Amino acid sequence: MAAPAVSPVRPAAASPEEGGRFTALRAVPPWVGGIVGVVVIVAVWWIASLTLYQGSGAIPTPPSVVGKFFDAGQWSATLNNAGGTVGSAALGYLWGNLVAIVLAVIVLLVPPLEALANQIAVVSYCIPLVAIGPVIVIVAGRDAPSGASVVLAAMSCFFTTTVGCLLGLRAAPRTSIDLIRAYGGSTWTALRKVQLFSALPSLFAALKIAAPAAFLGAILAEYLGSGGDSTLGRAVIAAQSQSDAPQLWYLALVSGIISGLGFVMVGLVAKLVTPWTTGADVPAGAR
Amino acid sequence: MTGTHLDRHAGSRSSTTDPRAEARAATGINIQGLEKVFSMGRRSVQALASTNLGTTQNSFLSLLGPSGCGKSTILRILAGLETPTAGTALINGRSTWEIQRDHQLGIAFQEAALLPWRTVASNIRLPLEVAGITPEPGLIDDLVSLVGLSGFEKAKPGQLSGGMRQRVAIARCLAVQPTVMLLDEPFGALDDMTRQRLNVELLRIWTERPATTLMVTHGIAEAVFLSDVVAVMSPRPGRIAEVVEIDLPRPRLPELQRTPEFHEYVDRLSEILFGRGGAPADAH
Repeated sequence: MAAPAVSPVRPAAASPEEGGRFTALRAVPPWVGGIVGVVVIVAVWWIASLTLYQGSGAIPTPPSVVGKFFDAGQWSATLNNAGGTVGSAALGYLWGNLVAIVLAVIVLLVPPLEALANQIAVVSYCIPLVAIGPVIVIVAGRDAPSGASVVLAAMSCFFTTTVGCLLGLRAAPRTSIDLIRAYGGSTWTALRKVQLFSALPSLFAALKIAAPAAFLGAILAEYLGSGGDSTLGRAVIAAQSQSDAPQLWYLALVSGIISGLGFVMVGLVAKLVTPWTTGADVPAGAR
Repeated sequence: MTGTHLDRHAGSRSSTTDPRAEARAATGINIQGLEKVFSMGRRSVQALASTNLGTTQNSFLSLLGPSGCGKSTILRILAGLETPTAGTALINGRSTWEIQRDHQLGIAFQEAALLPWRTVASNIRLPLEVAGITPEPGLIDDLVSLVGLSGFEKAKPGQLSGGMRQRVAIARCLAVQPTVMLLDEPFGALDDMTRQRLNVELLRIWTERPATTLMVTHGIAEAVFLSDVVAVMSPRPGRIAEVVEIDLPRPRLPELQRTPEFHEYVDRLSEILFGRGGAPADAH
């Protein structure tokens, strides 16, 4: 309040200089940063490929990997493989999230079940997928070629979605629920009118993370023997057995791109479904 | 303000909290032996000591007091959000349950509690949806213009200022055309100027559409300006310290707040709240 008169002077004197520096940075559009990042990564990769592991060729040069993206034969095989993996991942994503959401809603309506639900979620999260994968492949593998891929994909997204959904359902402002109850609404009415909607931002945050997780689960199951011949996981096994480094790098890139696309797509859906989260919906007057 | 003035104007009109005396006239809010104990594990906190309070139908009662004095507890019991440990609470001769069943209750809180995904009009419609009532054509538009928000029907809460949001909350409170209104510090989170303006509007709306009203507040001036009766509460345990009838003529205009009579009531209530040492700086 009663600050000495000199104190505002110093920052004011320093600010034009600093402000100028930041203005210069701010003038650069954000995508430039992204491009610079990519260029740096490719440069480091290129240098590494030319200097490290010359004997084994573990690090292929960027052109040898990127070239595969422009090879028509390679492409159709990859599309075919990716189709299988994405299909299993999508199915697992659907089931895992569905079970998770149903579980979260049940817990909200019947609070005593929470301890049990937490246990299920934590157990599903703690068991390493690589450890339980072979078991599931044996159980599901024979009759349903991609059954284990679906199960592992479902398991990978189950935990995050359960937690995200529960957090979201609880995020509903107390007052909004009080309001519904004061007007004679039931717990169910409050759930329908308030909680299901206010859960969406948190649920979508979880669903976004669940998309790459489900893909990882599916490809891992395939790597462990599930899913038949035309899958990305099987392609990785084939490339690995031939020590085909460029092919492995290429498959890793393809997997990363698919995974990222899943993340971005769920994010876009979230923006469409929950437009109110982008605005300033925090009450300005609230304490 | 001197003591003699107070005694002449306000002091002599103080009601008692004697249950029998209150019960006779309690055609509006009628609270008998109301008590609330919150138990948290082994500990229990008495939020509200045995309380009696009565008002007439369509009168405006304010519960005034510091936080933790149980004023919100009374409101929440009347709203059916808490069950009393002992005692009864009737409004207009009927139980909370009956009032809720017949959709006669309107409520507003300190937070506007608007649903951010709904438009202004849709937020105002919410109590009707919960009640399963189809609004008469034009009702929502009327309410929007009543609270001075015409043109904002399709706006989302995120686009509104704090004061505008509370206006929506008041319109929503009126959607069921209530005979009972419960207001829990409705303008408590707003800046002083907005709050002044909304109090004047609330008074206008309440005069147009009378309802038995209970407002919880810690604003002394706003309690005097709006109320027929102010019940001053004190904490630990929450109880009613004194009931003061505000015998100022209606309709009340903003100018009333500059009259000596008004200030006598404000001073008297400050005295009950804080003792004769004088009003603290944060009293509104």
